[in-house]
Amino acid sequence: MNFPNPFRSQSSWGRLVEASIDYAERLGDRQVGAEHLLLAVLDDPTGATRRAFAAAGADPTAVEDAIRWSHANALRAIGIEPVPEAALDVGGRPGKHRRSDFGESCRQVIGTAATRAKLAGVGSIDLHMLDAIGDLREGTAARALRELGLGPGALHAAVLDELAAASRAA
Amino acid sequence: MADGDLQSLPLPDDPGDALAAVVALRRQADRLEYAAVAQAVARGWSWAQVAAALGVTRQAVHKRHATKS
Repeated sequence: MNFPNPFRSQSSWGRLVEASIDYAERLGDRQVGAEHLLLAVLDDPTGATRRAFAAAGADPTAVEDAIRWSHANALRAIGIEPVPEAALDVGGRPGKHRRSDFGESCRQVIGTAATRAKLAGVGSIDLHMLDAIGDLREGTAARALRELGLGPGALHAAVLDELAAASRAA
Repeated sequence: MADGDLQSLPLPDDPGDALAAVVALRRQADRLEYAAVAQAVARGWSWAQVAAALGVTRQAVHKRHATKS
């Protein structure tokens, strides 16, 4: 996929890509989605995204479980008990992801974050990504956030606080 | 699966819930396919046999699984 220019030259973008791919593989997903990007941005070495997440009232360490629960609950809603992951674990990796394996939800988040980063002119890519993911209304990331009590837009104020702090520190 | 079986699947009222179930089913199918192909290859099945069993071309199954098995 063609990544927006604001991200291409920044080393943190490479970290986000690699981390999101790793999370997709860890969760057994062939395609990288916004939920994997969410896990990746929460690894932000500055801790800003985790602070924003916690300030919004949710535990950043609970996101991976919330994603798993979201999928499991979706199956139970149609009367299917999820197969335990260990039962299908053959000791390998579910797939070798390529850049083209980034899904539509990722493209949407990246596009939104790129626009906001350009307008704001401050703050880490991770914070703008978190803000964009927090605005999603549908999809696995949105459902996982709802599992944690965060509806659409619930992260925005906390992200703005972190961006303001970054602006003061700059 | 007979038509009656499909109609008996409890479709959630909320379209978001119904579509999330589709996503979750696809994930499980992917994992099952990966495990089944890995098992078959480990037991000496050829890519041609695996492809025939899955009802896809040999090229398709090789492209999807060869780097991981």
